[in-house]
Amino acid sequence: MEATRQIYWNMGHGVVIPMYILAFAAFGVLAWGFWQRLPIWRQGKALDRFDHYDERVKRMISEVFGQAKVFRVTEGGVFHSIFFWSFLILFAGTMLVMFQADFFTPVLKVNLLSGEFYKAFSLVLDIAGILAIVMLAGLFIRRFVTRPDGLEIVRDDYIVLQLLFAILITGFLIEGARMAATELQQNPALARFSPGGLLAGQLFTTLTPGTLLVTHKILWWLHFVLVLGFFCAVPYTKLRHILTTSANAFLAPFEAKGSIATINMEDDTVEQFGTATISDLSWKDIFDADACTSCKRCQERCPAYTTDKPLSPMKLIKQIGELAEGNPTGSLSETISQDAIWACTTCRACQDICPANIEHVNKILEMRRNLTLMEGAFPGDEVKTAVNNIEVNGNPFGLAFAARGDWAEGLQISVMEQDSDVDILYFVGCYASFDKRNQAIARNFITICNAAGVKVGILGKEEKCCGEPVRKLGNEYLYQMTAAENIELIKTYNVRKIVTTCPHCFNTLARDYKDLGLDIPVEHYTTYINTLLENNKLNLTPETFRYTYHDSCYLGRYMDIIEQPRSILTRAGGSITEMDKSGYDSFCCSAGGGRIIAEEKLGSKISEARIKMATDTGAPLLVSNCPFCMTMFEDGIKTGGAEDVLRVRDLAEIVAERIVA
Amino acid sequence: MLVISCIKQVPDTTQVRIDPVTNTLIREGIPFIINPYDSHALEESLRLKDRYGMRTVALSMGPPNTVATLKKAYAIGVDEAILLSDRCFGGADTLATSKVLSAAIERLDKQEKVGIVFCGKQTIDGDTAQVGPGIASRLGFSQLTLVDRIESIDFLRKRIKVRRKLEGRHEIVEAPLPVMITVVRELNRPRYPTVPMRIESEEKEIKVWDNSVLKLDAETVGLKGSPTWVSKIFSPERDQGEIIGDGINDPAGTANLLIDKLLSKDLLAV
Ligand code: SF4
Ligand code: SF4
Repeated sequence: MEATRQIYWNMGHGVVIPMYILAFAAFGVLAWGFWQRLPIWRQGKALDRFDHYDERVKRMISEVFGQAKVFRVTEGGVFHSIFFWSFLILFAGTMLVMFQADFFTPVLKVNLLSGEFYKAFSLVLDIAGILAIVMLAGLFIRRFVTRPDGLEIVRDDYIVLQLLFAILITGFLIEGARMAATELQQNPALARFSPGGLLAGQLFTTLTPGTLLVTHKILWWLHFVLVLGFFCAVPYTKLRHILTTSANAFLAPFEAKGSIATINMEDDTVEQFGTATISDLSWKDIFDADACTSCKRCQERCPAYTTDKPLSPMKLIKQIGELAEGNPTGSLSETISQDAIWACTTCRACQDICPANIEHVNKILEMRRNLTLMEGAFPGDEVKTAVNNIEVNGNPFGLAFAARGDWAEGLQISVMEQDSDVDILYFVGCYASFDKRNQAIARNFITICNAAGVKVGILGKEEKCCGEPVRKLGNEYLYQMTAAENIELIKTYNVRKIVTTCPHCFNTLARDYKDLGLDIPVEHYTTYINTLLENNKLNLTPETFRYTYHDSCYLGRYMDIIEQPRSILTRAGGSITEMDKSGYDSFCCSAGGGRIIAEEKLGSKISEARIKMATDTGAPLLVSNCPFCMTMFEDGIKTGGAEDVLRVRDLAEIVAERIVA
Repeated sequence: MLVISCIKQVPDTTQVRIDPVTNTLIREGIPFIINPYDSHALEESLRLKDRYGMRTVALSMGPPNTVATLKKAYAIGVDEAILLSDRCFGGADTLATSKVLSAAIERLDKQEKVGIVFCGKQTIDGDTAQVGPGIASRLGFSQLTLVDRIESIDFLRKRIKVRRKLEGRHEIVEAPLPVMITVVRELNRPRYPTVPMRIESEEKEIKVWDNSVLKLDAETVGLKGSPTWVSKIFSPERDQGEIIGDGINDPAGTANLLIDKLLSKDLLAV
């Protein structure tokens, strides 16, 4: 007997027409639901996210079907991905049956679903169905029983989980009923290829043939109606993420990470700087709210949220969605609260982990731009003072700009004003210029360069704050003012390469200054030293030590420099114990986003939380690569009472100590 | 009714060093800022504008580069900024300065009655605290110094009630308008210029009144009209300090010692 089955068994071909009519009606509901969202999205400003078309499509296909972003977090992610693949197989299988019944058989007169292929088909689909049920059970337990911190239960969770369960179960029940009446009696050998159906079939063996046929019919329609319900529910429940999150994989930005739109300050026609209400956002910003799956991954990684500050990146995205739908003229900063907007360290942990490609950071930045540029607001008076200091003296401390180069006195270093024929221009930055602890690191960096025979120049008193903190606080005006002065100055010298010790200067000079016309290669000292080592320009005598390493946000997540610093430290003789959160998952020190010049008045201290993670490794040394992190950690070690167990040192200090003379 | 704020552009004195040889201020490489107390005077005039719609004018006497500071006054919202600048105004002491400022205020008063003149309590470069009072006495205005709060203004009865911040106490006083008020930092928090205002201010013109406008006797203003002049500037020798306690091994005890010391010198009150 040939292995196959009769499609529309017991239902008859009469169901085809009503079936298609209902199916198209359901698709109509789905399309109508999204159509109604269009005006909500279109409240936003224009933004081209359809360039790089082919790459976008590729990215979407690989992200959606590969599920890599979802899988990155095992908890929840594994259930979701396996469920997704299983459900996809079931969907594809159902499609195949449909094509067989209504196209291959009547038009082509071939039966694909027979013989060995049918056996495999049946087995694969049954296994997928069973896996889907198991994964769904896992998701169900996670949502309603184990309930990890911060996971909310909303109406949609009941609807979606129950609906999916019902679809899968009724699917097996129809199969079971059909098999009880057919295969189980006529071809038991074939039934083994439908393990799910075989199991379900046992429920029906006691029914009389007449009852069985009626039961099957009822189940068939029930399953069908549930599936229609699924399609109809897509736009109105969390299920919308199937389409919106997938679309977001297509729509995600193509610019370098951390790219910020440079405002044309000269444009007289601009009346609103930054985002005050929904209509100041782009349509994509509003769409993002519909793409959010409430997975809370962003929130649980947010340094502000986890230290009890009033900011949750997830909530912020939702609040944008709520305003767009219910009160589009409402003030974003009032809805979200200024405290929340100022609490962000722009660490990018949220955006990096988000499986839905939501862009949190620039939204926050645009809201800050509105607060700063339109309202003259600040997170605190100390910030206003520091910002004024940057404007007047080119550094947040208010120290004499003429003293900016004083740290380098007595070192073998050129000041560009006097001698600009150098191998690298070292852009020192405010902290290494004026802050004692960080000056030591700058001196170590010079020692390293000297040992490698690299001639270093600095701008000395001509250098000004790179503008990063004020830019991240939304003060684009002052940023562009100081940046323009730096750029103009650097251009007057014949600079071949710029090296920074500060990841914030690094990002700003390498990426942000491009928009303002600076196009000189910029490197962070970690990769620069790594290259010197690799090329044998610099040699180290290893000396063993145990350490843990802090990936600063602007080096790791923003610039993908994760391996090089570790490799330098290995050469130096270090053995690392990684912290709980490292690499792309690193946890901010608290100083990003201009928070370096702000007091941390709300919640607990982020730096202490990070120091705790470092001491938990048992390593006696924390190595950092950023003057802001250094400042925060020196502070966190003192206030967190870790002075006896942990020291923080900069990578340059470790290297300088081990230079082969 | 007009509100005037008198502002001065000063070198950022946190950075001013004294040349040990010539005993003069080294001004090279020192940025100029608005005298911090004056920024509170300016802010208060703007608050009155916001509240009562009074017209505000910022006045400054100084060299031509003072326009930079007056631009900032425009950027935060004053209606008019006037620079009083003339070669013959240069080198003025407080007497001569208040004379020029008073003349300008009188001139403005002819167009629209002046209700309040705000000045910072003193400048950070001169530290005399005399110019404000000088204006008040020349113009015959009421004089309220060290004000940290405007309690109320009664426009009908033309009276103003303010709070003065004195050593260890406050004083509520009332005076008739017009009035000259010198302000302390606690009065308000100066606003930060918004970008639209900055852009707008780029186009606003700063009026310059020289002596052909004010028509003062050149002998009574500037260096010539100044009975005081600076003969020497120097950093005073400081006595060697003393080390008390042992902060490393006994931080709490040392803190107590320090508190006692400050109390005994009347630098701290309980
Ligand atoms: S960038 Fe960092 S601090 Fe800001 S919302 Fe995202 S996770 Fe939180
Ligand atoms: S914004 Fe992204 S990471 Fe955060 S809850 Fe939504 S989907 Fe998850």
